[in-house]
Amino acid sequence: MNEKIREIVVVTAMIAGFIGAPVFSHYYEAHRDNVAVAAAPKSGKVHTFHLTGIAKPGMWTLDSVEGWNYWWRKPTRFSEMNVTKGDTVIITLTSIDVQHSLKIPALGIGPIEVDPGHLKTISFVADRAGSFPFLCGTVCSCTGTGFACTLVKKHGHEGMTGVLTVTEQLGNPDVKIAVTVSEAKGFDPPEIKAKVGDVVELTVNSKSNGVGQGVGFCISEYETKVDIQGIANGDSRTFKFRADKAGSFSIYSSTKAGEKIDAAAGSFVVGPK
Amino acid sequence: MIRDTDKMQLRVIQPEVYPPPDRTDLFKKFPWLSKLAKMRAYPNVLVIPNLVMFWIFLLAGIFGSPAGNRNIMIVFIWILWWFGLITVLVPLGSRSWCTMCPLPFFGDLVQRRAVTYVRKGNSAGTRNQLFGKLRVWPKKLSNIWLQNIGFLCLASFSAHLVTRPMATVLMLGGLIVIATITGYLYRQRVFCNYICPVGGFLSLYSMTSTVELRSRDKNVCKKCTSKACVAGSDKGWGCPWIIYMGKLERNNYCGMCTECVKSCPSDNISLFWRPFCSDKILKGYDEIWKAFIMLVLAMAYSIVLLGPFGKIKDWANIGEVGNYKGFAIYVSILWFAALIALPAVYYVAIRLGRGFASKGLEATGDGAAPSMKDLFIRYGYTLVPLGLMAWIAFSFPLMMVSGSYIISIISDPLGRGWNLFGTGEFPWTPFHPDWMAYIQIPCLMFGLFYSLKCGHELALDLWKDNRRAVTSIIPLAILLTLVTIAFLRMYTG
Repeated sequence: MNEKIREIVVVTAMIAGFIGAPVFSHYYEAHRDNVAVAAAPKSGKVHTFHLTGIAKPGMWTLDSVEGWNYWWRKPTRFSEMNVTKGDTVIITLTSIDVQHSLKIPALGIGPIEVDPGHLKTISFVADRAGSFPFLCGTVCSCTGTGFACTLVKKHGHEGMTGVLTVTEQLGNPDVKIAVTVSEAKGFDPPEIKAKVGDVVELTVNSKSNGVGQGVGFCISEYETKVDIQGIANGDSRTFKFRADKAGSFSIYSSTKAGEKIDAAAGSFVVGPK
Repeated sequence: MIRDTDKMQLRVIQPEVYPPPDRTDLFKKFPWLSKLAKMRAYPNVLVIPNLVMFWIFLLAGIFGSPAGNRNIMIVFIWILWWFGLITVLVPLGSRSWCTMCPLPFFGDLVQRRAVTYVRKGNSAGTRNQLFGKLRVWPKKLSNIWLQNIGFLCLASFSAHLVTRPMATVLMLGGLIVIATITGYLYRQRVFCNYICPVGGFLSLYSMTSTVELRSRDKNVCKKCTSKACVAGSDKGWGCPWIIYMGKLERNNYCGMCTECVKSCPSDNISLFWRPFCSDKILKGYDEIWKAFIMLVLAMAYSIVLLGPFGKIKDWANIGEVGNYKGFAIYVSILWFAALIALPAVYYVAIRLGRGFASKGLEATGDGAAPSMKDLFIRYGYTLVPLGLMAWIAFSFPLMMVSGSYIISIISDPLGRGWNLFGTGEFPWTPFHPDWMAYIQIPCLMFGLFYSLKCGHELALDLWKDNRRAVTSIIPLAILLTLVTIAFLRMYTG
């Protein structure tokens, strides 16, 4: 082969190798995302959340944490997944440091464990309206050996929580109700009212002392529509649902929020139209 | 610089007529090896794939998982490459890593402006056309002190380097940049000869290697008018390491690039198989200090990376733990031990041995005892076989405990959850960690045996009298044995 042609061929092959690697990476990951979407249940709109668990400072994030930005990373804490009832939710999990896991107890999902540098994908249809806490369900520990393992001393496990809120598409509310929950007064007001067919916008404020897993708010026989869990002290959660069943229904905290709030009771009265 | 006394000893140990009886001419025995070495495409057939792999490693380090055990940059370099280098390539292949190393590729490219062919010309005293500034490297820096200090610097951050891919990216990327800049500014492979931290220890331990690239007959070299091995020809580049094969007697600074094989008009260069530890002469303080540094680092790495000492691990792991005071203590101890403490103890051992051996020397009329300087430098070689085997003993646990990561990393090089070949989820599976001690103990004993054997040969060469030779190395032998016991205690608990 002519000297110059050989040189051109070799240099071109090298450059192709240099360009080929990142191009392959890009297409491989795009293809993998498409496969995950194809494998997920088909319902409504598809929401994909790429969650990365970080032990220090203890958070889930949607930001991409890679080798280059690991040291000076300031990722944004991710704590709210908002979807509409009937939509498909795809969650991919990865960890950059230690073993984490994701669980959504109220929906019976998880714990899905994920080791550093691995990827786990879960998908489900959000067929139940409500506000469901998610958290890291692992007491995280180093999964590698003395050599290759990171020496993370503080996990910050408690920061790895958030809420999946599944709402129904209901339009403007007919009634707006605010309820405050505290140890002193239980549910305040203890009775809330609506009429059959009303779209209710419910705001639950937590004034509890912060003991337990946060305040919950659930209405019996309306559990598939109203199941708000884990509202921390000082927080509030707003939620819409349709009161489609007449009667008087009891209100209770669906999460362990401490003895007094667990024992507190109220009622939701739905009158005729 | 080779002193006259060294030259005399060199002649004793390495005869000028090659091959001596204990050498096997591999090019004659396996002609395909000779053909391969003469191919213009060699060693680029190794370098270019390595370069592309290296590029993938860099990308993985930058865009892949920051978890070391899930990134090809860490797993392939600090487990697979390191293990292969220290246990196979160096003892059996001398500096064959330098043959295929991608780091100086761009430096060469800047200087040669050619990948697959040789440019004829007349640049910088060669018969090739070279580009760039082609300056001469300062004489004061023509030793391996820079490599010694560079390696110590890197070793100080080793706990970080071997766990965080980006740290390794910065290190190796930095070395490529330096290699390219020096390739532009200075003639030939200044980077490999005087700067590359890896090259420093390769140069030391390649002395033990069982292969060597040498001229078959040094008389042919003497009569050769072209000196094409060092000056180049239309068939090959002048030796990038600036070595004239007629005088090459040690593996230390031969990168085995085989340009001399291609250039030699008399087909006088060959690859020889030889006994373990055939090169026995250290030639300067820079080389012996390299031996001190490597031995201390083998111990330090064993303590930090394999040992049960959590506090020291925390001190060393500055990036994760951030204990700057502890890190300062760790680095101070490391540098003190490598540059001062071990050399001082070694000096005392040599001094004692000299004192014992030279008793009554003048009375018997056997001449003067060798100078302390000669003994200090020459006996330094005894640290080489033991040092190499200590590194091998250190490296086996790495592969046995963490080697299974390689299987999953092949399928997921960036640690982003890929599964290219179905092994991405292969679990971490240590390979018989209970066998480790049974490998490490023979390694260390083998190293000690060769250190003592070489020490005895060197002593005989220096003292010319067996009783005095043995007496002179007794303190050194005790020191080496104590070092071996320290390693054994470390590895076997």
